[in-house]
Amino acid sequence: MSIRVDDLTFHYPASDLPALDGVTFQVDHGQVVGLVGPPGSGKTTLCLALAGLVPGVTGGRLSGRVELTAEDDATDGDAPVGIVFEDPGGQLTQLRVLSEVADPLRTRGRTPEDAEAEARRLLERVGLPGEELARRWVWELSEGQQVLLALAATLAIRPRVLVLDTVMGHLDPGHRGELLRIIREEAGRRTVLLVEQDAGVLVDLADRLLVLTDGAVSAQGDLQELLADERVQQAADLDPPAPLHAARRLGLPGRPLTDVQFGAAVGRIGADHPGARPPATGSPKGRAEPAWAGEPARIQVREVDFAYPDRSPALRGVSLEVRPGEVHAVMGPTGAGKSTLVKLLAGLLRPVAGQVVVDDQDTADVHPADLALRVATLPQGAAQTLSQRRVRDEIAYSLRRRRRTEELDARVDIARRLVGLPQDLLDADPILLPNAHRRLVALAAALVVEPTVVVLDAPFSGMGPGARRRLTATMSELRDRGTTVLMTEHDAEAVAEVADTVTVLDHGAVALQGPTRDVFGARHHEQLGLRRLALPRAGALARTIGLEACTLDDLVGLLAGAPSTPAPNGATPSRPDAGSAV
Amino acid sequence: MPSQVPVLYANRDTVVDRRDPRVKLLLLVLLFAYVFVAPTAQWMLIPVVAGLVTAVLARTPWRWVAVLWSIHIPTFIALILIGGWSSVTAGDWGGVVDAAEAEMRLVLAWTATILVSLSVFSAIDPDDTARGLRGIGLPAQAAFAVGLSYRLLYTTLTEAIQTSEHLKLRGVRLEIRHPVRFVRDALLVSLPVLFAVVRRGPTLMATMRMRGFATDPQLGRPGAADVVVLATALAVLVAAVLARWGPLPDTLLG
Repeated sequence: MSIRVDDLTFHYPASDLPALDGVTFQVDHGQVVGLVGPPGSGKTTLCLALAGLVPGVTGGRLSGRVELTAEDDATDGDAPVGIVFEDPGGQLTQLRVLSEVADPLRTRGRTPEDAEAEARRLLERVGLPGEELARRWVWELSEGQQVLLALAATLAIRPRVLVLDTVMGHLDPGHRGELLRIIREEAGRRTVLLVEQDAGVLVDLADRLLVLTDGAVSAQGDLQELLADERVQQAADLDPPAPLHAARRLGLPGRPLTDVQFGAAVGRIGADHPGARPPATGSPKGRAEPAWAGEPARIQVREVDFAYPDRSPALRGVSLEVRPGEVHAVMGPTGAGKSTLVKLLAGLLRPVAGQVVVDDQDTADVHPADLALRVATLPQGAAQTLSQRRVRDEIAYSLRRRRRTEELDARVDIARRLVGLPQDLLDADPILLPNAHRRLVALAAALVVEPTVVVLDAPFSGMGPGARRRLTATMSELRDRGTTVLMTEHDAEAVAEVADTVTVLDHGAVALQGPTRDVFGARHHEQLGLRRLALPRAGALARTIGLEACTLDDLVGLLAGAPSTPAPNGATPSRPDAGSAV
Repeated sequence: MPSQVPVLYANRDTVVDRRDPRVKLLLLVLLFAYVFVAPTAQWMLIPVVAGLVTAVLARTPWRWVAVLWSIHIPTFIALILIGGWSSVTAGDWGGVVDAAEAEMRLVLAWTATILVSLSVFSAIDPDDTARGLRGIGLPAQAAFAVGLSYRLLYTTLTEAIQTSEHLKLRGVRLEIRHPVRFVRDALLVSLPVLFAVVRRGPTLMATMRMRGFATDPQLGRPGAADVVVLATALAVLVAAVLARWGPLPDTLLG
């Protein structure tokens, strides 16, 4: 199906500013188009408009034209547009996994048996196989699984235009791989609109790029050309693809967007270049001791077991330590036990066996509300629980609640600056902010108590480049202040950028533990792959040219012949079991 | 991490689970009619016993029954005290016993409703509820609305559990041992839960508009056992009507 949009303008109810402002573009049948733009630029509104859902669902005023033209071989039962939305659970209309996919099929006249058989096939296709999974309640799935379920239900209506609205961020590398595979399969068969801020994904999948800024199209055209344009990157809040970023920093010729193109560009600088020789790895010699190496641990998890009421074990014999000024990342596939660990650290759960001590306090002996004054925890979904009328009240809430109102405005401002939230948002209604801003507000609200320990559950997942840069800066600032930080994350890129040390969990047990560089080192690539964990982009890029690197700085340093820069997260801890498989 | 939401239904493949959803829903309708027409406490014992048998057959979790029945105990006591208030103030405890006997029909009606509803709903897949309602003649939109309200109920429960955890970390203690403070704190939880549900409304509505919803329940014909169960329930209801307003004595079981 081809899409033609002419001068589309839309105002939400009671808003004078247009959410879409004269949007005009055209997409041919079978193309995969990347739709990018900063938070609040109108991407989701445009998707809704394509599906004919504005103003019907949203209210408001719409003018202009959306024309969807079906190709000759289209089937009558096919839906014109199907959207997989950003909110994983909010788009599931049934109670059970199987019904979620079978119901749209029954709606289209399939018999119950036929619909269930087709639903099972679709579930298997998106990577959710098995009878046990099919019979589960939808809220029992992880966010990544919910996204894949929504995709299966959307594919069940056979949409001629498939829209994926910012869904990659919810997925662990395994589920992400499933989704990328499906989009590749669907490309050419359907028109695909991919709302995504990850340039690497766009390079991998999309043919064209459409950039929205303040509700208007600020650029559109060939993906390769636009992604290489710095003005477009800035307008779209996009980071350049890793190969292009590395090439620019190295002063390489051309505009390599893929690993292969980068390899070719590097090949041209000569095999005798210092970077062409793989560096020695695994030895801490020559690296500086991190400042926190000799400090006593402020987070101590000792041989912890935990099981939920259905007796399914969530953690088994987990031990880890984190020191002041250290940023520790806990990685692992869906169901590894990451969020359970966060709840144990926050005192929301108590271990079945073992001990969790945070800032010299056994978390089993204290109410979570009291512990939170020293241990700021940001669980997943915290941004959905904002309820105050202004951002400044939301940030101040924890202090007001505990009657600690001295220098309140100053402390709110410190927290705001720490997370990089623009000052002009302080009087905004947090409920109406874009998701990325809401998450920064939730983070500021957690940090306002000036904690000694910070625990963050998947803070980078689903964040755009701008918000990621702010969050990276926040982590760096917390490290400099000597705050102990533990974060769970499945985004290897973020872990490589900010974490000093890493624990990899698998089925509730520690599988790998050590300094970030060692965990991502060549000797662990196979183990990471088996657990469906990705390497950081720079690491994967380096691997294609026979090098070993963790961050872009490492790669550029290697290829430029300079020694790798250990700071801020390259310091080697002094643990005897550093970097070991467990 | 997946949400942990308490759910009444669990498919235990019992004789009650295997009954047609339309029959189970019609039984509930008949029960609600019965509790209004049953002439005496003795007649009201019939649905209580039927409820107990169904609960045993359906292997309904006894905790659900105990909790739901026990939270009505204050209501039962209030009913008896109101009925025998003059005896209470006069110190005539025999009068209170008389009042308890007089109110027994109501207490049993309540108990029967709890037992039958719980045992039926613990054995009816929520997905089948909407189909069953459609199958007994409710308009498609209304049947779908009931199914969706189930979904929203569980969504709200999930949100409430998550929100209460998040707010604990922000100083909202939610401790049951301080009931007044607990109620006040629970109100603080309700606001973000409401916002979350409202925020999700347009997404849910947009999804339903794209996917549509089934108008045909596709349930087929009820089996012989379903017909027998329904006919028996109907016969008991007719007998109760005849005992109350017709030729049958209201002490038939006495």
